[in-house]
Amino acid sequence: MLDPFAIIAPVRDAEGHIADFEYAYANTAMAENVHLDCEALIGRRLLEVRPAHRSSGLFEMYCHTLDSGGATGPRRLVL
Amino acid sequence: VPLVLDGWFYEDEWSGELRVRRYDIRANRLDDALACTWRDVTPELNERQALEDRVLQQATISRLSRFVLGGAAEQQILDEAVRAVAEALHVELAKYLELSSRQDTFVLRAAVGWPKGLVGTATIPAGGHRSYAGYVISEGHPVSVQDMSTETRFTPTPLLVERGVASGLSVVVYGDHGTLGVLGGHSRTERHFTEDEADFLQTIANVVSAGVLRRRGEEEVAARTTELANSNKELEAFSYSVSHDLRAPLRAIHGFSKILLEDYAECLDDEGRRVLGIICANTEKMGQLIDDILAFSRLGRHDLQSSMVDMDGLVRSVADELMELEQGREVRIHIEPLPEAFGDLALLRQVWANLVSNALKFTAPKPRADITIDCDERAEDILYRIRDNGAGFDMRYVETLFGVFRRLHGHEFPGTGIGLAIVKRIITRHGGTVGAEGRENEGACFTFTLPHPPQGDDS
Repeated sequence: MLDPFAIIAPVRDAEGHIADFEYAYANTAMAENVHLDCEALIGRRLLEVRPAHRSSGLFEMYCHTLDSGGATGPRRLVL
Repeated sequence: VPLVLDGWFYEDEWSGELRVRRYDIRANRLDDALACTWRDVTPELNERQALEDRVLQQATISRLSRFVLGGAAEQQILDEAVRAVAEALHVELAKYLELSSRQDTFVLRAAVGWPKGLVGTATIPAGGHRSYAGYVISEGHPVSVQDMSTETRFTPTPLLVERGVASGLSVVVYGDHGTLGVLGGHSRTERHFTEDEADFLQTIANVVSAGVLRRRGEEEVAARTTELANSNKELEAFSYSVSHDLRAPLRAIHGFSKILLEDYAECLDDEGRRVLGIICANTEKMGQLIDDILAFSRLGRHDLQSSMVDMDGLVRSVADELMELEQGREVRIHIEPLPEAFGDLALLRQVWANLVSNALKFTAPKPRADITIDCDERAEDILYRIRDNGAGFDMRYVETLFGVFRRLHGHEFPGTGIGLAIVKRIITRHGGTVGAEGRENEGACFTFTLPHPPQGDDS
């Protein structure tokens, strides 16, 4: 099976801050990880589907990556 | 497109299930979006972990084996074994339960993760297979438990429950006949044990078994040796005191018989004098026997007074003295030059006296006695030889020659049967060996060896 893959697009608030991400594309493997079909996952919000992205810090890392770039070393987090 | 997130690990714990998966998460910027790949690296990590574990297990096994071969005591082996199990299985607790000789109790002999005070004192009953250890013995192969709280095959004992043990892996430590005990590793958090880990634990148990049996065997040999030495000493002390006590009454019998024979001979008839003569001869013989026993028992009780000994001169003087007593016989003694020896002069004199007088004694019936003494300087020791053309002996009895009171010949030759036993004992105490070869009526050859004198000692 393919590795889970998804393209997520930012959902920004009035001030331009990233409030959440939206699944623009997800393959079957990514969808199965959250027990959904691909069609059901596409269009859903990241923090709704996987709220732990915020508590784990992964959401922040995503925002940082998109807005300012820059690499981050290996980290361990639990979702 | 810049690579921005590298090497994120994601652990996915679906409710209730202990399934940990690890992902390498990469997010690449793609215009105003992120392309996220989650690569599952669980199998790679597991494989690497398994390989590392295998290496650690092998190293642990060889370290414990070296420890056993290095002569560690039984308790040290057990302590090292439980430590090794805890380390290599990555568990907080490990223990060795020894099965008592009556097979009814397990004793906690060694442990990691239990209070020190429990080691050597804590016991659990071994009857049936109600306990984990008992169940392992009844199964006879490694038994792994993932969740102690739902276990139905046996009832975990307080020893496990009180430590909050959740999972465990245990194997039997086998002895020569039956079971020595049970070796186990235990974890407070639930975990699964692999076949590899079971094999590893069984190997450790086998090393422990070999080590423990080896130590016990050595102890048994040492105990038996001490016992033997003690009983030998007792026997020597006994024969010494008995011989000593026998001498006084014997001297009285001999003395009074002599008085009868010398002062009252005319009151007796020929038969009376003959009988009295036999009594005297026998008391003399008995006196000689007692002296020999005393000499023999003394041999074991005194330290050697070793020095360099002029073996050549010693043999010649002993032979000359003994030849004095052999008047009227044709005796030819040929002595080859002998090198110096290192030993107790008085005792070595005794050896030669016994061997030469034996040779003279057993050549008596021959028209001419031919005795040759020589030696062979070998790499490992010096071999001395004395050959005669006397009565010889049957090689079938060679084993009994050097025993105490062993006499191959009847009364045609005088003697107490202790001479060769004395020779053997003296030579053995010098670190040498004795030997004999012979043929009936054709002669005998007695040999003994002595170690080479110590180097650099010119005294």
